[in-house]
Amino acid sequence: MSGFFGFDAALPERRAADQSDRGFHQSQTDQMFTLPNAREEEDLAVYNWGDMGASLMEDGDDFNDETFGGSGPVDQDFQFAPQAAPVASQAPRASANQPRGPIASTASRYGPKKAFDPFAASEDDFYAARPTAKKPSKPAAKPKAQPAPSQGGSLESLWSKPAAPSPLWGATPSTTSQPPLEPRNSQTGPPPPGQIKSLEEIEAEMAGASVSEPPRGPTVVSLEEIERQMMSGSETQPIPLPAPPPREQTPVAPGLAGSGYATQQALLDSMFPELGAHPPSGQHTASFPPGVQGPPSEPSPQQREQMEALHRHISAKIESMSRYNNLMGTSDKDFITRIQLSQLATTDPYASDFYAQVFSALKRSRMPASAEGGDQSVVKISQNFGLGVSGPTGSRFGKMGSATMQKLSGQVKRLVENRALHQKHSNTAALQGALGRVSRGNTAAPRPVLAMPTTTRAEVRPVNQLNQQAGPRRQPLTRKQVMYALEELYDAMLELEQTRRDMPPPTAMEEVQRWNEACAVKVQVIWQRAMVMEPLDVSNPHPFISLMNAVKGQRLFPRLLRHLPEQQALTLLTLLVATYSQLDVVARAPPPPVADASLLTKADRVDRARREVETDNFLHCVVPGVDMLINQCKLGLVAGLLGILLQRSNVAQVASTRPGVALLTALLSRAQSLIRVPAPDPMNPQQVQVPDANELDQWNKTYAYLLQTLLPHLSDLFPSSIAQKAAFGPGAYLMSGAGDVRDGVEMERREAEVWGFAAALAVNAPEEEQTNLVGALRDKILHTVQAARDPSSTPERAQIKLRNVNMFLNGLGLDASMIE
Amino acid sequence: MLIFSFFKTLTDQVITVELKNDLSITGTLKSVDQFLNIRLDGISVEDPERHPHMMAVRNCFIRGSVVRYVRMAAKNVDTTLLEDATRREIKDAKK
Repeated sequence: MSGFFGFDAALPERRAADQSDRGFHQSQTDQMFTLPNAREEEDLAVYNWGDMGASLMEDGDDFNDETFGGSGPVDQDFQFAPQAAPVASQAPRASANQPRGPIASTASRYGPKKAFDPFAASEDDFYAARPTAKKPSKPAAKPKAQPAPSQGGSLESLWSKPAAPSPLWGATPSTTSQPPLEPRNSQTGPPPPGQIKSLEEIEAEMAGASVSEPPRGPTVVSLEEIERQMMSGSETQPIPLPAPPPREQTPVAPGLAGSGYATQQALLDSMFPELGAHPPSGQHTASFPPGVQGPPSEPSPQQREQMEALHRHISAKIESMSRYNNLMGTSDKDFITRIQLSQLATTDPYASDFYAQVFSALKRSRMPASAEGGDQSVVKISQNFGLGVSGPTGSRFGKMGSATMQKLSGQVKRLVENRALHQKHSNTAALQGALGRVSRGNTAAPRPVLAMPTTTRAEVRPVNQLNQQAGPRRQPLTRKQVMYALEELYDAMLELEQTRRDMPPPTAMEEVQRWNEACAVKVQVIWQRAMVMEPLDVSNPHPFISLMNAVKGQRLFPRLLRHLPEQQALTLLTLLVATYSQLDVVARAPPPPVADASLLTKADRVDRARREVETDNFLHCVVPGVDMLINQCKLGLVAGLLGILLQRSNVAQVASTRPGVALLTALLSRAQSLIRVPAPDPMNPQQVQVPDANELDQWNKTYAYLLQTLLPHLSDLFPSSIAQKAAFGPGAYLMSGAGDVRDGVEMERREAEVWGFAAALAVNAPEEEQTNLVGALRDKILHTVQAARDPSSTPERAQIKLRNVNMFLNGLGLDASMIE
Repeated sequence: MLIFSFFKTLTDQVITVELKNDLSITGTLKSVDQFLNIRLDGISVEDPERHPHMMAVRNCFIRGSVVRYVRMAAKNVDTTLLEDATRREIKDAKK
């Protein structure tokens, strides 16, 4: 602050003082009001021409004093300023004073206006002071608390001078360069009428006004002290000084209650309690890092000194920053908040705030304990305006009373309407003959640089492109087409979900009817876009399978199932089973792990990782849905599905992949649970359905075919066997040894899937086939049990191995412990 | 509006804001506005030795335009929902 056009205009001795003891706006006013004084000139004198000054001879100075009035009182004749400046430093350049006059007067002409500025920077400070301090702009009404002498300033000199004969306004007196030494009379009476008060005067007045004591009392508080205290008043607990911080008087505004100020204040405080609240008085000390306060152990003097220095540094920092405390009052913040809220209001608050709305809805549904009904997530401002206010933990608007909320929305509504009106006006004045449509943007939707009217173009339907090719067999979808198709599918899905969310109340029958129809239409759109009904052999892979090959599509699968009616879901399942071998995760199943990953090229490693991710994702997203669908099937359907799978794909290949194993296991266990007639449920005996004999027969045939096809390959389905086969060279030896423990456990976990499948086979098998099964797996069983008993294998892995084998053997009524 | 909507869900979560001047501030997100101005509480600076002037600061208001990155816990983000919201945003913009 202490710069005047870039120069450090402060006296050298004052610079130090400035650093340490700078009032709120003191340095500012220093510059503003002391332009023509002698200190300036002394400072200017610094810029002389070095040593030359000493050698230069000057003469003709004899009458300088007389000319420039350096000594003794001078007549007012040639004083353009109303008050004579007692130029103490007798710089022989008083003529320089004259041109500066106008500058000084400009500064102080705006002085009075300025007086409100820094002080009433927080509007409610201003309001707070009002009831006690009558109109601050009427100066003469009130005696002032005269600031005690402090550093030289214009104020003191103003008081020290008796009223000037012609109080030209704006004539700022110049002052002595030294700090005034003689104590000044603090009560010099009211300033002359018409005199425009300087900033400090008004401050002093207001500060004095808030003093409960009559200001004439003997307590002489310096202006700086009052200021400092006012600034730090909310921060530190003040030593009992006569002037309380004005903020605390906020509620005392009897004259303003009608103007809505008090209610606004209350509203705002309720909205942003943390904003309006004063910082706790303990904050000052609590804000230090805990380590600084001094450890309990006795620190060395040096340490203590360091800590004290740090402490001092921090305090100084806080002190210097506290200048900016409370620059904005609550009402200022309130004002800005209302502006912001009005800008956020949109015609469709749910859509524009989609993420937050749905996220918080999900969050609320996840914690049913705190299910409070009254929480509003959207504030309706007017009929078609609103703003989303939801947060994950409920909005702070939720804490507001409805009355406050109404007031707020009323205010915001007015703002929004004003803006809409304004926009309408400016929109009619759109450029004529402009290219395209000229539109105005707002913060929510910025104006596009050029808005061309777009013709609604036909849907880019990959299936259309597919159908452009003739013939029963066509090229599969390209990756780009798949991505487009998926995006369209997602769009349709979002629309449907949005429609579902806007369910009308169940009492309104007609609306529910219409809503149901709308939903059905959207489901139909989705159904078409999923391309399930394309002929089975239209391409390889089938378009729907192409969609399911992408991770994005797999993620969509459960959502798709949720909306499809049962019949369509079953169609979907049939298609999926029929084309199961076309799935990437089956056709290009991740290869077995190798003993030494460093043998692989980088591209190979990346490819393996990608395929693993795809498989995991498929098992995570698609398979549960498939399981659920299968568990709704009847035995005939299960047999049919298994038949289609057997017919259309190489079962051994499908079964050697994890998704294949999962599918087969699901089919077999569903069949088993249907065949095994459950014990009649006493609650509802009608529910028990004995499977139809035809269906049973069909199932048995299909199963026999499956077993017959699979039996020769059964021991090759295990991941360990596949890995063993794939391994070559020294890797084969490494493979059998205990590799990485984590990999080993992972391998056993995958083995368990196949053992589970084998168990499902065994449970379904008739007795003579069971012997065959055990025969086919005999080597595998023995090998696994031996490996489990091998002392070199880790106990964890051995345990899993035994459990795996037992899973299969127990199904046959056997146990691993029987094996010698 | 999407990103604003997204950040609203992060209120009262601990996030780390990396500014364009390499200052990284960790704190509890108190509020965010449409310009993505951020108000943080209980802040700590990642590298206090390099930024001693931040020592005494306990809360701050960050202008949205000076933010380079915001780091947040993965559990606070619903990726699927975010993808959907992005799709909606695109669709609304096309309209």
